Amino acid sequence: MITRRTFVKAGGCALVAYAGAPRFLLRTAHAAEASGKVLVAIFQRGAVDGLSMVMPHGDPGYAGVRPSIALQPPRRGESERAIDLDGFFALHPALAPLVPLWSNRALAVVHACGSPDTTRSHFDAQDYMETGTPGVKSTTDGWLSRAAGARPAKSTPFRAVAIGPALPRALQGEVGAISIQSLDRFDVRAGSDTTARAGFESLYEQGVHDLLHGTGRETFDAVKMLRSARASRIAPANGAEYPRMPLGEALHQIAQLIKANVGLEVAFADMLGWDTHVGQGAERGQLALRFRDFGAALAAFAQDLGDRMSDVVVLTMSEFGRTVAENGNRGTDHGHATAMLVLGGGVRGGHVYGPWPGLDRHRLFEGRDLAVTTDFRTLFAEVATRHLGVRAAPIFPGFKSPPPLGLLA
Amino acid sequence: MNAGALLARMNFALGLASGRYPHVSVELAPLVAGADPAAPSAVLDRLLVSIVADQTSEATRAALTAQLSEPQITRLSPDDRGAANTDVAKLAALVIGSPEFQRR
Repeated sequence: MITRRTFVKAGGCALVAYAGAPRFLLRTAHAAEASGKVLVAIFQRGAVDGLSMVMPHGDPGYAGVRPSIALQPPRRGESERAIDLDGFFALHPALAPLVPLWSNRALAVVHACGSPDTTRSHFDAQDYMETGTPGVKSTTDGWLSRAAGARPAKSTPFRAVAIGPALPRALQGEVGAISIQSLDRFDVRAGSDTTARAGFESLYEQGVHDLLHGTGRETFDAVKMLRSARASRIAPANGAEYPRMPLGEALHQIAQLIKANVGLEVAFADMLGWDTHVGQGAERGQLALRFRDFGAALAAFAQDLGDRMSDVVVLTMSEFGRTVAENGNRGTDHGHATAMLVLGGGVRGGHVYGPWPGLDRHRLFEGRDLAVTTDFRTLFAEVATRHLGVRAAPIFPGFKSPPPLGLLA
Repeated sequence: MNAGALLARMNFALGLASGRYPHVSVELAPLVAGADPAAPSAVLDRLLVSIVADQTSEATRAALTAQLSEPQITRLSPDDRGAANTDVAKLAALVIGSPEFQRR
């Protein structure tokens, strides 16, 4: 007998990863929730250098410890330099597409934000941030799944969607999130062979006597719903042009799901490539190229959605920040606090939130890193409660949230 | 497993059995050794023994059997009077994508 696992191993092929078991069963009606709130979470995997993303040019401790990677402080009329936000902080110049959103007060920054856990392991820190339980490895579900699950049930398989090959930890859990690599390929791909789709569907339509059959039925319900909604044919609006890279494509597809009114409440996408140990660059270089794509993707998403952004909040996150001082390879190493962005409707933007701990050596965490002054759960809880309208306590167990930052109306 | 993952597995089964993946070859002939390609039910029986040790529910077997008369499995058009030439790859893909195999 061949087991599926030996079959896969023998072929040296990777399958899409397991994820939490879905619970939406026997729901086929199309959703008509056209005006629901949507939270879009974007994970910058690899630990983005928050001090380059949102540079504290007003802190005298910044430039001296970054001889080759420090950004030039803002100067009026010089676009190659960092872009001043409030006289103390500045955006990386490659994030210029975000400036109109800042000026319109649709974009806020939370700086010196991060985890109370001190790990410098990407994997552990990502897990902790995605489960919403720093320091606890036994949590099996993600905070976004818990947040979506706390909202009133909807008759749609598209409540929670991750764009990518597998469900991220943040969306694993009872809510029954779906991972989608590509909207226009979310189907049984057998060309003109109608037998394959019909055959698979008949194999899984025999009731819901176990989870796999339930998933099978949900799968075909979702395929039919997406095909009916023609989501993948919805073109970007308002002249928006998404950058041709994974985050741009992911945000384009999330916008398509929102505009197709399939009942999306929580979406997730990630962007890799932030682990800049070597040759980080300054205004130009490796990190600048990542910021260029990141900023262009976010700006295109906001432009594409237009007025619909009033129902959408985009929250960016990264597992930790990077060392304040440059290393011997003109890069930065794993640090502690970073900066996170919040964009969208109801955001009290045009402001950098969170106490600034300072870059004096004696103020640094373990003498080397930007200290965390805002627990990431404070930010996430505020977004969950103010935007999604759910209680924070069940989503972040054991966390006693301090007063909210006040960044959402 | 989420719906997207299951869909990806079905598509993987289709791609694998039909040889669509570069540098990956699958020999299906040993899985149906001794079965007459003119007899789709015999081919299915052999595939079920080879791939899932013949441990299938009645419902799964019935769903697969229902596919055996499809022209894309028999490779016979309605006007053909000759013997079937069972498309082993398509049938194997359905077995690999079946709940019995995916549950293992």
